[in-house]
Amino acid sequence: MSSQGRILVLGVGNELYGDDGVGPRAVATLLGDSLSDRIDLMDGATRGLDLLYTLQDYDRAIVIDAVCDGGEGGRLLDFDLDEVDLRGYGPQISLHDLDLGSVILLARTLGEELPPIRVLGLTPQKTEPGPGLSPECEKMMPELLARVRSHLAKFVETEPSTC
Amino acid sequence: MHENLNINVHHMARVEGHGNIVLNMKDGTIEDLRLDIVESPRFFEAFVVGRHYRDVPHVTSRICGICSVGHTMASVRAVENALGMEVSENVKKIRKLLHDAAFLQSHVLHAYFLVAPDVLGVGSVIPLAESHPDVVKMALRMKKFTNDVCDALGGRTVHPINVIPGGLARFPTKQELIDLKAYYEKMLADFETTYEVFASLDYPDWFAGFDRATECISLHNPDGEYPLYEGQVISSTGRIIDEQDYLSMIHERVECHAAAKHVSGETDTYMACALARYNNNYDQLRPKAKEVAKKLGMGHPCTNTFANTFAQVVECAHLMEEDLAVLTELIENPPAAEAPVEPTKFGRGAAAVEVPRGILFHEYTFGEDGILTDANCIIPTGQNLANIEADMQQLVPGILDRSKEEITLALECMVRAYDPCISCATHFLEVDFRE
Repeated sequence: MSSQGRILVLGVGNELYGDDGVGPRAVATLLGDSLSDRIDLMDGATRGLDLLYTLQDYDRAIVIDAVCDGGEGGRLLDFDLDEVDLRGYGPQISLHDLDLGSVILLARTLGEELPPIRVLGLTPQKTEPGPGLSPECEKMMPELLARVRSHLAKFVETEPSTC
Repeated sequence: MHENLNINVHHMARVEGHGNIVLNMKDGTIEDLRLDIVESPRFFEAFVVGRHYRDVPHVTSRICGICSVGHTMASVRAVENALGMEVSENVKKIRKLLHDAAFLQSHVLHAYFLVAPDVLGVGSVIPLAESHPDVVKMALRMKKFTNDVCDALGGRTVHPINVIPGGLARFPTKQELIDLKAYYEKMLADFETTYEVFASLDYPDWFAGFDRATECISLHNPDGEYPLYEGQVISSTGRIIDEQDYLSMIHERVECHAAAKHVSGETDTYMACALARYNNNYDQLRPKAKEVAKKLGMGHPCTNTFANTFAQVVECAHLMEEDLAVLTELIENPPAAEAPVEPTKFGRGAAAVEVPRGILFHEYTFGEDGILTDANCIIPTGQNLANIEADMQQLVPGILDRSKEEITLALECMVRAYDPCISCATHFLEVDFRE
């Protein structure tokens, strides 16, 4: 793992699948911010196993994704991944679809070292082929981005670079 | 022994291709046994119409995230054939290294992440990580190795940007080649372990005993190396053609139950995969690869479809030895940067390349302005569909004394044996039995 206090903001999901595109959309918006050079932005799209190696290059990560919690569309969710028990997570789908949850579960099972991961997400309202977020998620994007910026400011301030 | 059996393996996936296995048997007669392909049409052949030739490989690369390197190679070679562009031997060597790395990556993932769970009777790689953590860590290490090679030579892990019509955007330095060679040498131990792992697994009897001879179509290069990047097209029936004439051997047709076209060759069904390459080009395999084939119990020719995974492992052995030799050559004579070759004509051109799942054809026609007017792509999974169904027809009668669960597993394994790009269809499965 890096020792430079590096932070990754990783947006995952498919922009062509409605609210699944929350993560890539958020990362694209954050590209316009003046961020610390310790922060990298990445559109993780629908990548699978490769995300494991990417995460291991950082000291902390924020993952932005659509999060199905059974609630109504457009709810803002903000939690540490350590709070989530992934045991019993669905079976492997394919090499195309080894999603982030499966990757994290695999890493945990193998005892692979991962950085602390904060997940910020919106509950999807529309998951079907086609670009664009639902009105419910579109409305919540400013709040989601504000929460990401708030976390980043806190991380940069409280976890100074060790370079 | 089942007299009446109804199996419907129905797939639900996020966005990728879908396939369903359907078996209906009544009073001891198989009425229906098929692989339904229900994925949506992709329209890539339409996307590229109106595009400049330099853009085309970047678009067609997106046909597949796993085979993006292979589609890029087929695409640049089809462009170069259409436009009369002849690239240098050094360009070919570097492209082949990248191409081979994509094979290594795909084969390792298929063998460890899709096939090994079947053989060990678990649903996914997660239980394997609990029972065999060192092996799964090794597989991940091998995957990272191939990622790093693709990064170094292709410019990024997927959808390479360094391979362009007429050459390469960037040539590796001598030091980069030295570092790559050291990396390959370091990884040899993991590949050696892999050969042992797959030779020592305990395979089900229907896996080890399956036997069905079929036509094999692949690239062919009798006087040169084991052909993955270029060559003639050969059918195991004996016919050999130039890649430009591929449509005289490859015949597409529409089947009502499949959104992907079925394909026939010199016979009604044929196989295009690592096993087809192994059967057609065994003599060109390097000694280490032949040694691994023997260790895995493979004869030649091999008529057990399930042994496609073994053929993939054999190809890994071949490619590690081959690529170390190529790296040594390049280090001794480091390639100087070359400007891309320019077109000398405009018109039609086709290219056949091997990709991990079999032979892949791209064909384009360009106008005088370099704009594409027509395209045709025939992918290996489509070529294998009819053969998969023929294999399932052979498999089922011999396992009717097994439980429904085991029959279902065997059918899934048969589909997975081809390493299809609809592999999404074969692991996240809802299985409904109706009798």
